[in-house]
Amino acid sequence: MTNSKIVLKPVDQAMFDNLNGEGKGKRKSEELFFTSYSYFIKEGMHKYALSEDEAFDAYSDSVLAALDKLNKGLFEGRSTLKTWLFQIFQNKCVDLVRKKTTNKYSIHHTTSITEMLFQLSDASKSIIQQLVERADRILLKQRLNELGAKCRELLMLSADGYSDREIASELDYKSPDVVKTSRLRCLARLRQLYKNP
Amino acid sequence: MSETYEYIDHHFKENISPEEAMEFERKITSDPAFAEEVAFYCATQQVAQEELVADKKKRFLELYREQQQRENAHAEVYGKLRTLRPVGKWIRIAAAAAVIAGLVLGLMMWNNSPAQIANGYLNEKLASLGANMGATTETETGRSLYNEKKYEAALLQFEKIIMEGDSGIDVRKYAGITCLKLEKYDSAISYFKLVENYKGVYSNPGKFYHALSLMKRNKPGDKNDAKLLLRGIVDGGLYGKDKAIEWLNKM
Repeated sequence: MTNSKIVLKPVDQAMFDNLNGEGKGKRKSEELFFTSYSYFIKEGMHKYALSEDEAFDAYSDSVLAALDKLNKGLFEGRSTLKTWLFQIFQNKCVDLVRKKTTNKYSIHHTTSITEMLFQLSDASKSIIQQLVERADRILLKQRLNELGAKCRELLMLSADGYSDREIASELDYKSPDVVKTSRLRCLARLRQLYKNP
Repeated sequence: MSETYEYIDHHFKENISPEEAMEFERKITSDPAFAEEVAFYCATQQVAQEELVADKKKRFLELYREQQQRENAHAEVYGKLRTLRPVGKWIRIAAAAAVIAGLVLGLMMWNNSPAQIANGYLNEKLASLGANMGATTETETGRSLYNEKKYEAALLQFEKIIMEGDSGIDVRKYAGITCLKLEKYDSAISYFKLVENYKGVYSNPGKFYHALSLMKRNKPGDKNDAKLLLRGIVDGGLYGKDKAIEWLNKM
């Protein structure tokens, strides 16, 4: 997850280390990352004539995209985190303005294919993709929220790219194996709930 | 069920061999129930990610609103301070001007107070007693003691001379001046009244020193009495007329 070869600007080192840290404090670091540059929202409002809600959406999407890239080691450290995030934010704002002016805003609210499908061959991917698209996502979301806070959190952290070791550290589990067992049990329970509403 | 998910989880989360991958793909194409479970695993992942984004956005919105509230509160306080600042500035300027004016006025009043005028005169003009051609040896002794600032001894000397029957105006004047130096104002006034009573003297300083004593004593009413004496000096063209005009202008 961490790209140790990156030479960072001194100002970013602490933030980068925290964001790439494991377990506890990572969420706080993400929040700190968000609040540190939230003044971009105002800049987006002035520069691109966006409403506050739109600029907020663009900024929070930018932060989430940046966090995702950081998580995947895609930040190369060629600029400061601030400049890098601002570039992402500007692109999001430009996209938003284009979508608004071409009335294609709603079209872009489609769901993306989960990245894990790319691990499969085209034949298998096609089968699974069709099955995924047939799934009742609203019901699944509802059942996920009925699952209980602990199970939901386990599945959410896993979806957020946390390893079992990181989840164990974040949620004070004894070991990654305990996390894995609990997580898979939660998944099985969710399946039961989903199948038998 | 958990075993199936463990198998699926192992495929997607861990490094698997090409053989394991092939077997996994074969099961998807040949076992619809297994394919359903894989699809459920992927759909859950996808839904959880969407929920995660929604949760994070919700949390970001909370943080943003908290931040906005803090900034608004800060702006409100800062705005109040900004509106107060010009008033505060003028208050400070007015206060400083008042203090300076008070100090200047106080200094002027202090400088022009009768006691201060008298002090100035005593220190400047009566720091020493000038030689008198016709003075006796005893009187000269008293004068020397005065000039050496031995005022107690000087007064004793002058009083001794008076007790011994000297009737001269100078020794009484010296005694009065020495009393002033010793802050024995009543005695000084008594001596200067005696001096005032001397008739036929070309330039009688009695009234002038009497006024000076009143100014130095500065008791209630002394200032007005001193002014009356000084006006008398000015009107009569008596000893110390110029100083009397000057002091009257100051008081």
